[in-house]
Amino acid sequence: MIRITERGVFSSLIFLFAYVILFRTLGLRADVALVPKMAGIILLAFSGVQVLMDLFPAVRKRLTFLNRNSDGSIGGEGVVQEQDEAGDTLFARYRFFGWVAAYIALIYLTSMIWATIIALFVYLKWINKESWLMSVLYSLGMALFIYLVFVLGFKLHYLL
Amino acid sequence: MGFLSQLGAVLQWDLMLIMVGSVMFGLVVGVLPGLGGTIAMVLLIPLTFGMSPEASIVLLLAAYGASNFGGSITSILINTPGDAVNAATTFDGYPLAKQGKAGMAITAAMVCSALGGLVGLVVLDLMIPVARKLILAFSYPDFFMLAVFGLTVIAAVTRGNTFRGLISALFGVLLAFVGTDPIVGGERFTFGVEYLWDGIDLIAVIIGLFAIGEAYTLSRQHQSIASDIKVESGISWEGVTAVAKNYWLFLRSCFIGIWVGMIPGVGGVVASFMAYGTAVQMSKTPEKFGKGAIEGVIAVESANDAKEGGNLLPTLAFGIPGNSAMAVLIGGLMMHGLSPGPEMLTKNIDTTEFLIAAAIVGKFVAMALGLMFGTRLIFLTRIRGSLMAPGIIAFGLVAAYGAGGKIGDVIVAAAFGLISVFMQKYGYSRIALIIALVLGGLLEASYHQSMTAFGVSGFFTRPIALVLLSIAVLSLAWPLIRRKKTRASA
Repeated sequence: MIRITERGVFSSLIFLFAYVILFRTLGLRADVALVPKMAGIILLAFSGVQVLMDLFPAVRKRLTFLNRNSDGSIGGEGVVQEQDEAGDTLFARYRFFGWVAAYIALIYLTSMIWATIIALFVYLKWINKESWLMSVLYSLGMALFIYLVFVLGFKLHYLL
Repeated sequence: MGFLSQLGAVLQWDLMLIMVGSVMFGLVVGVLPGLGGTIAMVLLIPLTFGMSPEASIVLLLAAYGASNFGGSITSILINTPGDAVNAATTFDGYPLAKQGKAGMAITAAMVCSALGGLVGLVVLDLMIPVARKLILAFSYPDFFMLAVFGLTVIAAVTRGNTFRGLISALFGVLLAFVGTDPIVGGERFTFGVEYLWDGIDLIAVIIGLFAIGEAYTLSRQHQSIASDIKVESGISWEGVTAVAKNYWLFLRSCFIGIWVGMIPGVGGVVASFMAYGTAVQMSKTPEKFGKGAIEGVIAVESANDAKEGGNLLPTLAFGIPGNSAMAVLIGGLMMHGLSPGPEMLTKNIDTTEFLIAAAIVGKFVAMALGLMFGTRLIFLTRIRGSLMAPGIIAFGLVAAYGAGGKIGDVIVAAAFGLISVFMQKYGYSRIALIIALVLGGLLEASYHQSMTAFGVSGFFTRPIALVLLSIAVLSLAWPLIRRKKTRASA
């Protein structure tokens, strides 16, 4: 039975990426496309297996050797951190992503300095529930630091 | 020793000022749990924009080296490693602190870190002539096999899950192909986006994967690791004599660190745990370990810093980053027109010697400042992760944007921050991705050059290429062999 999860969506996106790259090699000269094609085919095969495992629990059970985690992972890399999450954790995660996206939009629409003041204040006051004083001082302090070091110090005027 | 000729160039007042500031920053970052040398360097990247290559090297390496010192202080005092590489220091460092010997443990850790770093970097310096001869013997097929070897060793990095580690590496390789192709110079996989013509910016990817990814983790920590521990600053001669008495353990651990550090992909965590394990095995009193044996601290801290010399060898000589921090260093050097690889041992040998000299001086500045102020920085552990997160993101985005004023770099950094969150959550390896992103270009270029100059036979007839291929196959097969061995012995 198919089971659509965030993990499955993530591995599907990697699969899709490999497919798109492979598809784009069709219009390229043979020698230019060769190495990307080789790497793309392998990634497509590997990520395809991963997608099947993530979408179909029965496949995952059959291919246990591909899901084995040893204790010897380095610095926590390559180890699944959490299996299930509560709804509020999921909400917090997507709210965080939304905030980063809004921050970038602000950089594009205003400038790095103004975007930093607004985005940090919003994060601290309404997402992190800090006090007014902390939110104002933190956001203004960070913006002032960026202004002094990068704009005045390094003459990066495009940050303004 | 070539680095001696560059010591004078390092000991300039302006560079020393940068070094002191950078060491203090590295100590602060090291003390903050969850942040390590890689993040310290990522956050300093924007400060290098207006600097000379020499000043940038001093800034990045001093902070990276000092972060290890900071991490060991929290390991000893509050049983919380600043970074994964300091985890093994907690085993005996914290019990020592509970016995009232924190000063001794911290001094021993600082002395071992500084001297360990010195040993590692001197060995690196001594190995440069050998590496240079080896590199001059390299041809295109050998470089291709070297890139293949670098990628397969990623399997070792991702022992947690080799399969997803390989997916991460292949993902990184494909990302490296975005931009301009090396044969006709035409645009490739850019999807009509002009920004992608220069390829995906390495620094933006690193900022996303490490700074923004870690900031997300920190944003979920709403409680501080409060500590009221007070320890007197300054040197404890008991700690110094402990290191002197255990000089053989110190040297052995240094060489473990250097050896492990040279293998691309195998991080400092392995070096420190391996050194600790060897110290226990070879001790006459193994029962003392874990209960406050100073030998445990000496072994871990010596290996931890000595491995930097080992790390730098593949990074500088072959352009293969041994770990994420080395990938950041490569990015930082590239921003200043220096491309790690054979040129660093030939045309830019003076820069390499300067780099070694700066790293050595940085170790001793870090030791001095660590002993003076290190324990006072413990108050920083009271800062909540959720409060640090927005500052790190702001600084990360400035770093991405400041490099070229391109909004595309900011978007790439944010996108890889998001990817980093899911990679960590579902067991994909960020280190594998970043190493593959760095090696992808070398892999493709050397493949085409080999085919043009030697044909297919070049890959299987040249001795260096064959040796590298054998090691690559062995590194892939090693987990299976080990598993079979374990089963057989069980």
